[in-house]
Amino acid sequence: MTEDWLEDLLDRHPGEPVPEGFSRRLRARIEADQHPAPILRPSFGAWLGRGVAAALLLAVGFWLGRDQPELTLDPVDPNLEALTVGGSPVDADLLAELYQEQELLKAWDLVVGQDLELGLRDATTGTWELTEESDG
Amino acid sequence: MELMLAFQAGEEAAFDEIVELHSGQVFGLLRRLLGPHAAVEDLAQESFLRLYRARERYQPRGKLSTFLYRIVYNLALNRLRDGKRRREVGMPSTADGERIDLEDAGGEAPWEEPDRRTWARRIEEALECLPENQRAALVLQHYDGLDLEQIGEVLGISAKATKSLLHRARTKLREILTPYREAEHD
Repeated sequence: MTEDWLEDLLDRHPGEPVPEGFSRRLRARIEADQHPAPILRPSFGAWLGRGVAAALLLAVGFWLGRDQPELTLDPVDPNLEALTVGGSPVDADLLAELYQEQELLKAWDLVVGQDLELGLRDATTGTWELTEESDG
Repeated sequence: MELMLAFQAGEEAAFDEIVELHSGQVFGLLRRLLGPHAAVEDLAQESFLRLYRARERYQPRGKLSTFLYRIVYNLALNRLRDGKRRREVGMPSTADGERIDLEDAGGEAPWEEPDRRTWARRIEEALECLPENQRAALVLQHYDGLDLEQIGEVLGISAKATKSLLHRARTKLREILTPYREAEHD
């Protein structure tokens, strides 16, 4: 060991061997960097071609279906007979009113049932007690 | 420098010659800067790739090696900082920026007679204990023979600051490696 032993110790580091094939791999990377794969961008011509093809397809479809019956139906059948009761036609507003009242009656039944159930409970436990009102 | 000028003039073969001539130094520098656990080939490739790309910008003012070392140093610095960030967020990493307990790291006692590879590992681990700029300054001076001006050029500091860095690097390295030296003499 010399006087400056640190330099001698540092000299013991052998360095780093260059891996085999490094130059080849580097060259491949440089090639890839310099000539990157082309990015595919659809050109105007390609889009125009697709548009023409779609239009042709649509035209052929119309031509093939030109003598076929209509697939749609009229929203209201003109031959449908009006609803009658006893020979006279029933007003639509009257029918709607009847249905509305029927719904109201059903709701009333439900409320009455709940009230009766509450009335059967014990007053001391904090529930309602059924009371009877007399007319005098 | 002539090779780089030839490469600038369009001689592709000159670049291959540059790689042939400097790849050993680049690998050595990367290993000593990044420590024993780092994969260095990718960065070595990246260094030469950047040199290739810099063909147009290269100004033949200094040595080509200094220019190349600057590229290598900056890449290594980025890698080291990236490694530190990974460790900060708890990602696994083999490199350790903190002081390493050499006895634990090497798995052997200092009094054991080390072979060449063990010594290389010890030196790499000791270098890892130094701050990045001290490490780079020491490696560039000792292994690559750069003078203060050239090292300063690579690190982007003055020659005076480089001298100070080198002094601190050597003091710390002596401190770390003294037990091994003493063990060897016992």
